[in-house]
Amino acid sequence: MNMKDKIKDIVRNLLILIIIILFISPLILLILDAFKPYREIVSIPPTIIPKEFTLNNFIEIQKKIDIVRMTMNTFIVAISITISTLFLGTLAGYAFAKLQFKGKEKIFILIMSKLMIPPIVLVIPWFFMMVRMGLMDSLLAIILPNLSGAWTIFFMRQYISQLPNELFDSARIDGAGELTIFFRMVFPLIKPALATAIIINFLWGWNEFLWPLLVLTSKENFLLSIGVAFVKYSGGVMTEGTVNYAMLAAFSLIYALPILLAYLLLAKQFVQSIVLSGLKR
Amino acid sequence: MRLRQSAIPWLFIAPSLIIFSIFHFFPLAILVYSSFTRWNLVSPPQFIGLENYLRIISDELFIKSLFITIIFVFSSLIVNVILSLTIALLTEKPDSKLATLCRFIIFIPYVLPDAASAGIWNLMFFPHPSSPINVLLTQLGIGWQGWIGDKNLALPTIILYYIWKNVGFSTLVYVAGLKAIPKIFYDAAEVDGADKLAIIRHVTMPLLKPITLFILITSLIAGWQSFTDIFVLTKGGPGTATTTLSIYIYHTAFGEGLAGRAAVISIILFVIILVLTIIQLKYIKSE
Repeated sequence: MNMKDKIKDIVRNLLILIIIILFISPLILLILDAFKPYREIVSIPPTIIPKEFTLNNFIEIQKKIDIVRMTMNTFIVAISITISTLFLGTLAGYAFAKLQFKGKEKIFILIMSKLMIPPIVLVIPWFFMMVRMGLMDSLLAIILPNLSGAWTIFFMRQYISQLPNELFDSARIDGAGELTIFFRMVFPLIKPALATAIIINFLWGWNEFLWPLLVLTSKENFLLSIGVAFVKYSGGVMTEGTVNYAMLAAFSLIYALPILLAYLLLAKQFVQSIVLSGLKR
Repeated sequence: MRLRQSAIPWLFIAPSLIIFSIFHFFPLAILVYSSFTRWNLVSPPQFIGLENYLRIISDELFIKSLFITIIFVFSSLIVNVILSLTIALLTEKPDSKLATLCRFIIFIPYVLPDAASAGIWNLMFFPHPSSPINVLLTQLGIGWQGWIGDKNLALPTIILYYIWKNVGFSTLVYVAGLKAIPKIFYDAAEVDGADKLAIIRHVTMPLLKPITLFILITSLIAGWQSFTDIFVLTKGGPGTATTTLSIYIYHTAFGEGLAGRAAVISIILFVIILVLTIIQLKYIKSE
């Protein structure tokens, strides 16, 4: 390596290092702030490393809003959405990939057109419908519209159509019914695709915000997502008329933690799945 | 037996089809109907014809929120594309450990749930002399700023947030694209004596065009409807400084109880996103 290349390499690594620092410092700040008393955050100058390491923020939040309950609610919503979408989406995806029926193409296009409807335009009608159905302020109101997913159907159809037809044909000759084929053959064969679909649907379920914000009114039904907005905007957890940033940090950390841990453990899977999923819902 | 066999595919798609019909297609009909009514979501809607549509045209706040959305979407998008392409080129070759770490880290904000990442941004940019950014500014001799609490700086702060949040995704898409370019193209250019910048301009960039288009369109679709981040950061404020179309729909329907008028804005937003999606589908087909 000559001098010029060496300098180039140093500059390049330096630039990369700067980018890393820029992107990671908010995340480090989140962790530090969560374990600091509020007064340290707003003292002049503020402390970076907590002088007094405290778990008080978490304890105070738990006293004011039941974060354990909220975490459970969020898991219930994300897991139900994921399981149901995986099952119903794969069922439909298999039908579109391997079964023949009238109007198949047209129905597929109809289902895909669901991807074009942004949630923000649906919440007014949903509000009306859920009042009628008596489902306001219930987790069911959030789960129901998400029981199946157009992206999952699309993704599963793509994946299953790559599987050789002979596999299914020979099972049919052996007298297996379509349901048996689906459960015994399709599910085991699509394991890699299932991992991707689980990650994507769970992330989406965990992320749900706008609709829960409108439909959930009592604190014991809150999800962590709207809990963040509650901690920021509700008078109950404010300190002297301003936001309690220590609590905001503690709460955001709890909300982010499961996703953060999953990403640390399964980084490659995450990246592949998200690049595959292409667009956000 | 034959009849039962032919019913099976329908059995498989029926659950999804029913859910989508009830919760996604049918509500569009409610939305269109309610756009012709005066309705506060609680008492029965009153039919008022085209009044909501006529009101919207002269609604200054609607025009303003449309304008804010356009500024938000396009400025974050332009910086995002330039920055992510730069980072992709910087980290792609040779694939050092530091470069891999960099791509791993810049993807974290994208993976995090929106409300959490917006909460984190709050910790950096809160309107107080001791927020991290203000401490930095004070050290540099510039006075502290209000950021998300300042009506001139709130939108730029959100745009900055949105770049931090999304750059990781576009970078990875670019890296995937760069890896797919056969080495032969570069070798040929080098034989022709092209320098590095010339190679990027005349070989890499044209080959990355479809990828750039993909990023542009997916980010446009996501940007036009983004709600969570803005709600957690500013709730559309201060005043109406960061009220995008989706925040305006929320305030109009659920704050002021003007669901009919909000339905009109929803329909306009829907049409915008519909057009973008159709462009995207056309593009995917041509690939």
